[in-house]
Amino acid sequence: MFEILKETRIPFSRLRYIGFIASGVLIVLTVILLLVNGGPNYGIDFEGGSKIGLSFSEPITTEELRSVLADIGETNVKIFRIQDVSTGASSFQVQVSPKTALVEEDKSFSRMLIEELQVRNPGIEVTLTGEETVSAAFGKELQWDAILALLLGLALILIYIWIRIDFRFGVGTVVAVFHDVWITLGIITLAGIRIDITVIAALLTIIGYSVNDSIVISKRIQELIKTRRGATLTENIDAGINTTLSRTIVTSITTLFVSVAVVIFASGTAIFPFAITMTIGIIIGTYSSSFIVAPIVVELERVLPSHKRRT
Amino acid sequence: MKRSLWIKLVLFILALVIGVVLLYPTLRLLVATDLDEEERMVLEKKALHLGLDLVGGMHLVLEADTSGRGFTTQEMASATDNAISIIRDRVDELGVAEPNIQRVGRNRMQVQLPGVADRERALEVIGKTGLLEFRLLASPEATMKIFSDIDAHLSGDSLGGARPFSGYLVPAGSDAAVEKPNYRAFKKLVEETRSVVPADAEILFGPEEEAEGRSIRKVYVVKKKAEITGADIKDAKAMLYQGNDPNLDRTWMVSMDLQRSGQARFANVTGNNVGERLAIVFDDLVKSAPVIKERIPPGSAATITSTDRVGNEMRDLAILIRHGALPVPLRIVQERTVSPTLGRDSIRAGVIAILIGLAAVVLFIIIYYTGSGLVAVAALIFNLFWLLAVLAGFRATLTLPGLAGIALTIGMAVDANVLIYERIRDELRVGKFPRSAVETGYDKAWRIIIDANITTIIAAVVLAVFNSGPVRGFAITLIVGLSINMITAVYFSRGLFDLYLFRRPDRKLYI
Repeated sequence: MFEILKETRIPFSRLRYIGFIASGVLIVLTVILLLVNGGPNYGIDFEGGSKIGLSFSEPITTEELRSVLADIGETNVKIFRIQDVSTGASSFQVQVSPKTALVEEDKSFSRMLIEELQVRNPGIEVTLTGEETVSAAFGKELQWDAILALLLGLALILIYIWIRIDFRFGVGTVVAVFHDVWITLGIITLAGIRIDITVIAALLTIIGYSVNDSIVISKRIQELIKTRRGATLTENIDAGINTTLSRTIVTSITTLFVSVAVVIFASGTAIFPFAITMTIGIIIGTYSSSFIVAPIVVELERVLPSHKRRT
Repeated sequence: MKRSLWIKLVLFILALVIGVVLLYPTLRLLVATDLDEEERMVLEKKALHLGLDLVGGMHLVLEADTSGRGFTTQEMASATDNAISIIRDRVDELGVAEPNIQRVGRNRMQVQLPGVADRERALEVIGKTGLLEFRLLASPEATMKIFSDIDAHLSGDSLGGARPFSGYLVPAGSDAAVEKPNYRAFKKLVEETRSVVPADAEILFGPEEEAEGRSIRKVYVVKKKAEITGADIKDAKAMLYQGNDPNLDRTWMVSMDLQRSGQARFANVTGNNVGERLAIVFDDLVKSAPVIKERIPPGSAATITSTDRVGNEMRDLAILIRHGALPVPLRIVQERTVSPTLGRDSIRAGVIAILIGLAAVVLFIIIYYTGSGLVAVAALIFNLFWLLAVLAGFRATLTLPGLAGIALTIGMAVDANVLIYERIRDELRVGKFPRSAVETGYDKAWRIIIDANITTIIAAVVLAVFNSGPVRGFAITLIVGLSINMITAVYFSRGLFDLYLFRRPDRKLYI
C-alpha cells in the first residue's frame, strides 16, 4: 500500500489559531491590495473596450509596439506579451479603452494599427489573430449578469449545504467559501490577471470544489460523532480531518495536475486567466477545508455549546 | 451475484456500442482523407460541434436601437425580428457555411459566422443600411438568350449542345430556379461569367424558398437601372385584396404610395412596360417580381397582389418597401473574431494540456493504488469516451473553455474512486475480507460521492444558464463529465472488482 501520509494525527483543532492568523493576514492583505489597486483588474468583458491579438513574422519589442500606438494617438493601452511554450513564438495582446474601440467607425482601430505597423516595419508581416470588442454599456450588463450568476450559484450551494449538513458545519463551509474566493481574488489581482467571464466561471467552479471538500470532511466528522460516542468533539474533528486527509490531498493533486497542465500549455490562449485562477483556487480551497471549516465548528461550539457534547 | 454481473456486462456493452455510434462521424472526419464535399457536410452535421473560438470566425451581438422612438415592447420585439430576417438574408449572401443567427433578449441578436476570415467585409455587409430598388426584369426571350450565351461561353461550343450553366436550372412557376445543393457551384459560375451578360443587366437570385418539397432559389436577369428606389416610397401596407378578380379573393396584397418625386417616373415606367415584370430588389436580392398590369397614374396607389392567404409574406414585403432598410438602426455591442490559425493553435494547446494532464493523473493513480489504480484509470478513460460521445450526440458546442472543462473533469473524476479506495483501505486495515471490504467501501462512499459532485454541478448549471458564449461550453462539459463520472466511478469500477473477486472473495486486493 503506497501512501502519501501514514495514519496522521495532526491536532488541527489545537492548531486552528495558526490557520486563523494565516488566513486573517491574507484576507487583510487582499483588502489593502484591492484598496490600493482601486478594485480588481477588469477585462474588456466588464469594462468595455477592445482586445486585439497580433502576431509578427519577426520579433518586435513591447516598446516598439507602444511607440506605434502612441503615434496613432493611443497612450492609454495595456500590452501583454504572450510566449507560446511549445513553439517559442511570441505574440501580443493590446487592450484599448471603449472610446477607442468604436466599432461603427469606417476603419476599425485594429485595421489602423496594423497598417501603421506595416508602414513602420516594412519587412515584418503582421497578422491579426483575434479581436474582441465590447461596448461599455454592454460590459456593464455582463458585469451584472456575472455578479448575479455568482450570487445565485452561491445561494443554491448554501441551500444545498443547509439541507445536507448541520448548522455549525454549514457556517464553517460558508465562511470557507468566502475566504477562498476573496483570497483567490487578491492573488489574481496581484498577478495582474484581468477578470473576464472565464475567471468568473473559474471562481464559481472553485466555490463548488471548496464546498465539495468541506462536505466530505464534515460528513466524516458527523459519522464519527455518531459512532464514537465517548470521544469529544475536538477529538472527532481531528480524527475526521486526519482520516480524510489523504483523500483531500490525492484529489487536489490530480486536479492540480490538469489545471497546471492547462496553465502551461494554454498560456497563449484565451483560457489562461481561467486556468491560473482555477489553480490558485484549488490550493486555497484545499487548505481552507482542513484549516478553516472544522476550527470554526470548534469555535462555534465554544461560544454556543450544543447540549449533549463536551468540547 | 452472477446474474447482476451479467446484467452489468450487457448494459456496459450497450453503452459502448451507443458511444461508438455517436462518435463514429467525428472519428471518420478526423481520419478519412478521401471524403467529397457532400459526405463531409453530412458527417459534420453529426460530428462533435466545435465552437467559434476553435474553428475561427466571428461572433457579433447586435442591438436594435429603439430608444426615443416611442416603441411599445411588442413593436420593439417585432422591429428586432424584422431586422433579424434582413440580417439573415445578408449573411446568406456572405456564403457562410453554417451561420447561426438568433434573438437574445428583447432587442438583441447574436450572429455567429464560423470560418469567416474577412472581418472588414463581414462587418460592412452586416452593418450597412440596405438599399431598395425597383428594377425591370429582362424579357423571357432575353433571359433565355443570356443563359445559352453563358452555356456557349463555358463549353466553348456555340452550337448550343452542352449546358454547363443552364443544366443547373429547374422550372419554378414561370421562372427558372436553382436547387439549394447546387447554389454555391451555380453562383460561382455566375460570378465567373459576368462578362458574358450584357452591360445593362445582371443575374440576381431570389431568397431561399420551398417549392414542391424542394429548397430552391429563383434566378432572375435584372436590368441594372433602378426605376425608383426606397427614397421614392412614401408608405406601403399589407391588406386583404379588394379588387374584382375572384381568383384573388381572400389573398393579401401590398398597397404602396409614392412620394411626389417618383410619381411621374413610376407612371412612365408602368405605362411603357405593361406586361413586363418589375423586380423589387433589396440588397441585391430579388424579393418579388410582380407583373405590371397597367399604368399607375401619378397620385394613385400601386398594388402588388399575391397568392399569399396568410398575410405574413405580404406584411414582410410591406415592411421592406416602407423602410427600405433595417427597421431600426443596429449597433454592434460585442464583437469577437478569432482567426482560424488561432483556433487551430487553441485546439492543439487544449488537446496537449488534456493529454499531459491525463498522463500525469494516470501515472499517479497507478503508482498510488497499483492494481486498483488500473481500475480507476479504466473508469476514467471510459468517462472521457462517453463524455465525448454524449457531447457529439447532443450536438453540444465544444469550446476552448469546454476543453478546459474536459481537463478539469479528468482531475475531479478521480475523486470518486479515491473516496471509495480510501474507504476500502480503512476496511482492510480493520481486517475485513477483500470482498466485504469492497462492498462496505462502495456502500459507504457513494452517498458522499453524490454530495460532493452535486455542489460542483450546481455551480456549472448556474454558469450554463447565465452564459451564452464559450463559457457555457465549459459548464456543459463539466455537468456531463461529472454526471457520467458518478456512473463510471461507482458502477463500472464496482463491476470490475466484482469480476475480480467473483470466485475467491479473499483474493488479494492491490490497493
